[in-house]
Amino acid sequence: MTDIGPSPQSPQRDAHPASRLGAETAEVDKSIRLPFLFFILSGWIWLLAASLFGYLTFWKAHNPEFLNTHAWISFGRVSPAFNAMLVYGFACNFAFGLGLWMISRLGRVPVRYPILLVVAAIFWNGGVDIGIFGILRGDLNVFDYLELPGYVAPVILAGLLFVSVWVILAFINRRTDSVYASQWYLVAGFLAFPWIFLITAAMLFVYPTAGVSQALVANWYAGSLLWLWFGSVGTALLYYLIPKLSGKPILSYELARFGFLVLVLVGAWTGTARLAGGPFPAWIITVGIASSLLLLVFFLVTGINFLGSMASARDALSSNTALQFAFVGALSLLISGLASTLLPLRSINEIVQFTIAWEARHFLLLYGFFSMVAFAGVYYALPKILQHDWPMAFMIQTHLYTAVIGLLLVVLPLALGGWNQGMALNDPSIPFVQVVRTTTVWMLGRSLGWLFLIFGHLAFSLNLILLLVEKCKSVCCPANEYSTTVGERVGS
Amino acid sequence: MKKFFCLFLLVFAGVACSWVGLLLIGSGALSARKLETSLTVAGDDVVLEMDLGLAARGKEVYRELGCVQCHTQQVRRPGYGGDLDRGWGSRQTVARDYVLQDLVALGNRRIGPDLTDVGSRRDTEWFYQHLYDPTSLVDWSTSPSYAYLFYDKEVTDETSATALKLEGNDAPDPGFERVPNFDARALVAYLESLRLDYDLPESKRIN
Repeated sequence: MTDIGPSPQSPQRDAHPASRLGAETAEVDKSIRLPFLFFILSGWIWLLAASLFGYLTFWKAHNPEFLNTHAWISFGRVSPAFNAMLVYGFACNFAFGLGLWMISRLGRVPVRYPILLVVAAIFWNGGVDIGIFGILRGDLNVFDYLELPGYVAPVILAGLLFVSVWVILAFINRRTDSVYASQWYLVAGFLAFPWIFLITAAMLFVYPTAGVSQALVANWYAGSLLWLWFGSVGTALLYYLIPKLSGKPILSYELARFGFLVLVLVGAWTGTARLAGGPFPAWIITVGIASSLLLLVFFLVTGINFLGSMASARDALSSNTALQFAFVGALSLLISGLASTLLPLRSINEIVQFTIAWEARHFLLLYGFFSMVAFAGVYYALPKILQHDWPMAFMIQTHLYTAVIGLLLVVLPLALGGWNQGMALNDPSIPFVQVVRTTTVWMLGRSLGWLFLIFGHLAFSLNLILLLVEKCKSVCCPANEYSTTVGERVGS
Repeated sequence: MKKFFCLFLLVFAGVACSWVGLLLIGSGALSARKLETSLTVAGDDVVLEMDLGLAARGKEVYRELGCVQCHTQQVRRPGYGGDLDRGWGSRQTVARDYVLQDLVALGNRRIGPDLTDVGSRRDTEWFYQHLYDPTSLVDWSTSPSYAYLFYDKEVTDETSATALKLEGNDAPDPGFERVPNFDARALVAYLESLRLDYDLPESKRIN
């Protein structure tokens, strides 16, 4: 690991004169404007679609006859469609946009041929569009995180490869000597994602094997996707944003390095822990559980590093909303990490397996950690890239508060309800329908929480639309140009 | 370039080792090449078969309707969870049970009951009625109705065996009967085929 380079304490440390640095950064921001906007706006539209489908899914879970007139709008279809929208529509688009932006900025390389990245985005989003349509017409798969039909795999893989090649080229052609922690995580994430996707598509859709090895492949993919992809990009974002937003370097560079090693080497092994008790040889499950335990090192090390860094910047934390988003994300990473370590343990999984407790972990990881960090990234990056401030700072706060309330309302009932459901399921004296009935009550919390989260999405949308309108106005009518302090006021 | 190469090697080590170690070795151990599908257990011949005919189409319907969102198809071992005590099967499921299945819907959620052995527990009439109106059979069921898989048909000679027995407002017009469409019949054929009524050397039924 020592080869990874000297250890700058913050992304800005190179000995460039400040003006030159600023000019370079501005040049990078300008070069990435088009693809960045394309990815973020696509992610935003998916977020709105997911808001609607999430509402349908969660509401139908306790009101099964709500809008249940055709197969395409039944629970069995809207639920996987919602998951695919959230994962491949919203989260991946934000990850692509922010990942490209960070890697270009950290290496000080302007993006070349940005229009090709737009083509990549069209491939990715076109593939997801067709895939969602496919799910709704019945071409869905039976595995979590792999709901999209196999026939869109080549299309989205093409888009993904494009973006990954751009990220890797931006890293190789960087103009800095030092390599910052975020860069390792980004390169690892963008190397791993196409690879795990390719392996999975080949083993499930191209040369499918019969029998339970399908579930083995799917669970391997799920674990790798969560940690090697979302874990890497989310962590990269936090390592980038925390020093930028707080003005303080991260607590320990050595911890970052150590955490990275653990994540990359162990992340792909964790998925099979979920198969406990299933029709698999014991060693496959034991490997999953053992690596989940090892991954605890990553959560602890990274969590301590993030929270410790922010603890030393209390002023910034109390005044900067984007940093508060990052804080919620870092805290969610730590908690969902602990949950990911504890839930697979045999004695606990005996109770919570097949319950909504796993949904709590999924939601905390994908929404509490990744999405919150991605929102922090967009709140920070977009004003810089557009050279225009967010029009309504209080809307960013509204988004934050509703997101925190929503998260608590979704995750806590699912976690407690999941435990309750698991205990009841394992007690045959309780009739099954009684278990269903009790679980349904806990699910009401999730529906309510999602409404709060939708409200936050609307606050984000309003701000985003106004930002774009004002930017267009200032471009069309330069006389009225809005005074830009290049995002320094972000969230303040 | 050197730093990129280091990063590449690390990611390669993480992904490739787990791919070979878990997926290739694991899939090898779980394939039909390793697991015999016709064998003799305690003097009885056991021949595992693929889903064929209507049940094969029914399995596709099961996938298309997203049944896996709420139902599992795996029975955990005695002493690990309450699967056997709930009567969801008389033995745990093992890899060999699925070895010929081209679509393995093990599932991750039990919002509804496990279906591994549901063919032994329910009959055709129950399945149709439950698909059409779950709450008519199970109070507080959160299963959605699949009434859109049924249609009204004019009664010609005699009532179809699969026609629903409906009364009151929900009954079809006089001279008509409400019958399952092809997909519903296929789905029920598949559900009826889900049975765990044989022993395997590595997993024998507990009576």
